[in-house]
Formats: sequence, C-alpha cells, structure tokens
Amino acid sequence: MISSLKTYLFEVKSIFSPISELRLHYIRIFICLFFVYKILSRDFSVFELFEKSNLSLYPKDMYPMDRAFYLFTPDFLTDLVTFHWIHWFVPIKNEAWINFAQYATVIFLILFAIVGPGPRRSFGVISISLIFYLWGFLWKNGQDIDAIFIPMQIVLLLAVSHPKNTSLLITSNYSRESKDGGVIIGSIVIIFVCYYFGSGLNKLIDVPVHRWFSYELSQEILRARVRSDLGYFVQAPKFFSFMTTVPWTDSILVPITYLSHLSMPLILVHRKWVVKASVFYISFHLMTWSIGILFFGMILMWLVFLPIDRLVFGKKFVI
Amino acid sequence: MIKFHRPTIKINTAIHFFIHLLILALGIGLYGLRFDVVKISTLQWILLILTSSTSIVLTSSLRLSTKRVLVIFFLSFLVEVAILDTTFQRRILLLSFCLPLISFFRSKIWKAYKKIPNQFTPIKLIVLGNITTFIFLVHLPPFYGGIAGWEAAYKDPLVYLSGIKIYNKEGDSVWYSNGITSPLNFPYRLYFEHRYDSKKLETYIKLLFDIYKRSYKHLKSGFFPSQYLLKEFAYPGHNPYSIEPYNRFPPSQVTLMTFETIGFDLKSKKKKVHNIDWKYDLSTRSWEKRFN
Repeated sequence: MISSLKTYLFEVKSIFSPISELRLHYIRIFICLFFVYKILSRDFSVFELFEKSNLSLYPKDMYPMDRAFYLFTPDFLTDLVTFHWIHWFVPIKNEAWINFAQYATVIFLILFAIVGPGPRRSFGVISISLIFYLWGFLWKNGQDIDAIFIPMQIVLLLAVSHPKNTSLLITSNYSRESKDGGVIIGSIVIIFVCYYFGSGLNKLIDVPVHRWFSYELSQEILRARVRSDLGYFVQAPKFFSFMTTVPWTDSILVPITYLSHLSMPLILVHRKWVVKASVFYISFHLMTWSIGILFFGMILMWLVFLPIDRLVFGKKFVI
Repeated sequence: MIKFHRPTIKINTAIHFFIHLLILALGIGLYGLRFDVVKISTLQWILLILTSSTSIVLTSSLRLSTKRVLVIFFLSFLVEVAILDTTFQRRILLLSFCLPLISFFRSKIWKAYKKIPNQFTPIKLIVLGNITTFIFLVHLPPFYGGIAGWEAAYKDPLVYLSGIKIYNKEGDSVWYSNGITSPLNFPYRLYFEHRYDSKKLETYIKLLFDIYKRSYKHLKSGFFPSQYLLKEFAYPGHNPYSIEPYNRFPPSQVTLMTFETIGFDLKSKKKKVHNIDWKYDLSTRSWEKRFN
C-alpha cells in the first residue's frame, strides 16, 4: 500500500501503459456513438421558441453564492466557449439552423468514429465545437446538470490528441500496442478522477462531516415511491422499495459514497482499481434512480473502460 | 522531521500570492455586493488571509518537494472546515488552500507525461485544464459541474407533489411533465427565476404552452418529443418521466395553466394540503395569484 502510494504521489505512470489499437478504436467509436445516441434523442430546435429573457439565465445565476462559487464564469465566457457569441449578431429564432447544427454534429461524429481525426483533426474539432454549441443552449437556461461533462471532456481529449494515422479505413494490426492509446486512456482516468473528486470536495464543503450521517436515504426512496404511486410525472422504480425497510443503511451508504468520491484519486495508482470503481459507480448511479434521478450517461460512460481487446483476443481480463 | 528552508519567493509563488489575494478581494467584494445573509467578521477574514498566506510561505519553505505538504494542507483544511460555519467561508478557504497545490500536482503530472515517449502538448493542456478546474472549483465553462452535497432529514409527515398543471375545458387536469421540454431537464429553474415578475412569468407560461403545442403530435401518441425517432429506446431524461394521458388534452382544449403544490399524508396517502400559486387563463390571459 505504501509503495503504491509512493508510486501515485511521485510517478503517475502506470495508468499510461500502452493499450491495443483495437481498444483505442473502441474508445473513439463508443464515445462518438454515445453522443449520436444522445443527440438523436433530443430535439434542440425547440430553442427557436425561446425569447431572449429565457435564454439569458446562466448556471451561475441558478445558485446562491454560498452553494457554488462561479467567480470565473462571466456570461460572455460561456458565450465564447459555446460559440453562442454568433448570436450576438445572428438571431437564434431559426429552426432550420438549429436542426442543421444538430444533424451536422451527428454526421461529424460518425465521420470521427469511422475515419478518425480526419484532415487537420477537423472531424474531431468540428464535432466537439458543435457539441459545445448545442449544449450552450442548455447552459443559457441555467441547466448545468445533464451527465454530460465527462463525455464532453473525452471528446475534447480525443479531438486534440487522437493519433492521426489510426482509422478504421486503414488496415492495421488491431492487437498492436499503442502508446498514444495508453496516454489517452490514462488521461480519461484523470478526467474521471477530477470529476468525482471535485464532487467529493463539494460534499466536504457543503455538508460538515458530522452531518454526513443525517441523510435519510430510505425516507427519500419511500417518498419518491409514494409520489410515483400518487401519479406524479417523475417516476421511481419499484425495484428499490426494499431499501425503505432497512433505514439503518442510511448512515452507512451515504458516508461511503462521500468517501468514495474523496478517495477517487486512488484509481490513479493502477488501472485495476478502475474496475472496482466502475462497478461501484455503476451501482451507485443505478441506486440514485430509486429517488427519481437517472444518471444514464454516467452509467454508460464507465463502460468506456471495457477491455474489449482482452475479450476479443481472449487474454486475461484486465483493465 | 520536516526540514524547513528559508522561503524562496520565486516568480511562481509571487503569481500564486497575487491570484490568491485577488480571489480573496473578489470574495470580499462579492460578499459586500450580493451576500448579506452570512455575516463574516473582520477577524475571520484576517484569519483566512493569514492562514492562506502562511500556506504559501510553508509551501515555499518546503520547496513543494514532499508529501508532507499534502498532509499539512489536508489536515489544516479539515480543521478549518470544521471551524467555519458557512459554505461561503469554506469555499473561499478551499480556493485559498488549493492554490499552492496546483503547483504540486502540475509538476507531478508534467513529469509523468514527460516520461512518456511521443508526448504531445494538447493532452497536457487538457489534463492541466481539468486539474485547475476541479481544484479551483470555479467550474469554468463549458465544463460546469459540482453537484452539491446532499442532506435531508424529514420531519414533515406530508409528501409533496409540486409543479405546473394544465386543465382542459371539462376541468380535468394533468401534470406538465419535464419530459415535454426536453432537452431541458429542469424547466422549473426558469420558473423559480421568473415567478415574481408577472411579465416574465407570462412569457414563461407562453413558452411552455408553445412547446406543448409543438410537441403535441408526439404527446398524443404517448411519446415525449425526445422520443421522436428512437421511441421507447431513446436516451432517457435526467429524471425518469412517465407519460401522462395528453391525448385528452389537445392544445385547442387547454384553457388553464396553474402551479400547484399538493401535500399528501405519507401513510394514509390522503390529501392534506392543496395550494395553487397562480392560475393563468389562456383564453383571456388573466391571472389569479396567491403572491404578488
């Protein structure tokens, strides 16, 4: 344990060990298809109906100052990075334009999945730019929760760093080791760590440690179920109803979750820890479904670590 | 034993110190401008500035070369988090404490990347970008984030259902589901922002009704607009929504929109409370409100 900790503190190295080319293809195709699936399940052209007063509510406006600290998120910065500065000059009320942007994103993502980064990395860069643009509509409505930050960061990572000569159109030996792929998957692990650890720090700040044990999960599940039974539009599945009969688990499960967030950097020690984290977090996100919150994107995202090469080539199952 | 060195004020440290003071100044400024609920005494501010300045000098003394820096920071952070009683104070404190750590992590990650052949700069930038984002906890766009800590202790024996309802000419009502406004997951965020301004609220209600009219072709078939292509296999919403019998509520028959809160007894499931914040008649464009 001590030696692992030393390795972590002073040589964040093993998570970057090479992966096969097949696995690199899998990561790229998986993340692109995830976005294609999500975008084809959304109709962004609804934003043509929005008046300006309904499109000027940025995430920072949604939280009181003591809940979040958005010192560095002026509105113009959001407009700049989401390419919504275009609408400083061109009005949004144009259904055809929004539809065009939505379907262009799908086309570029498919091209990125099949062809790879493309000429001058254009497929990846255009894909991520269009994703920023589409989700910009949500950010301007104060909607910053959509289980989307990790997938967006991975696409950004791939857009700027995916090796140019790796494409499904180029015949290659899929079992060949890819050092660039190793760096990419290591960086993806870091993205996960940053996200969850940041969330853990928020928990530490927002809820003093002695109150970590006061969250009544079983009551929350019970109330979500009662709301469902009474015909509310947010539905909680019946599967988790058994949790309401074991309220003593409240003071165990909730602190475990907070601690798991704070201990996420440990998965940087070795990739094998990623397996354990993925099992834990898929279960955790499934459990939040019981209170009517479904982090579907986060559940899917953990599958990016699936060792597809090991399954195909029949080697030992190691992440 | 911790071996202290004479503090060496490098340009890096100086920049950190400057940013540090800037954040504190901004924090104080914002506190003065927008934040008069939480009272932070002058003494507390002085303590914050002193502790954070000390943290920078300590970092410099130890030359960022040992894991003890991490331990010192983490333990001090825990202690101060326990002492400070508002989230606002704790957040300011975290920003202050994390600044020197950025340098520490940056050097570690940078070294790790340097050891890899065929390294490329963009990755470094992404990783560093991520790290600074999460450490600062400022959620630089387009990557917002930071789900708040949750705590809920229930003493209320009632369970509440709250939201917008639409009524048809027969007087039947149905919940206006969040699924209708997809890709917006939380249309009520707009409502809570606009509720005290009649003009904005009217624009908001008109928007919801326009979206309803636009989506009706899907709703009457039992699908949300997000399911226009993939039907039941579409990517679900942030909350698992149930489809309501909207086929009985064609837009031409909808006469009224309301915001209601209904409280039911948790055990007997009997209705105990029924508040209607406002009623908006779509044909006459007239209000009936509880609050103004």
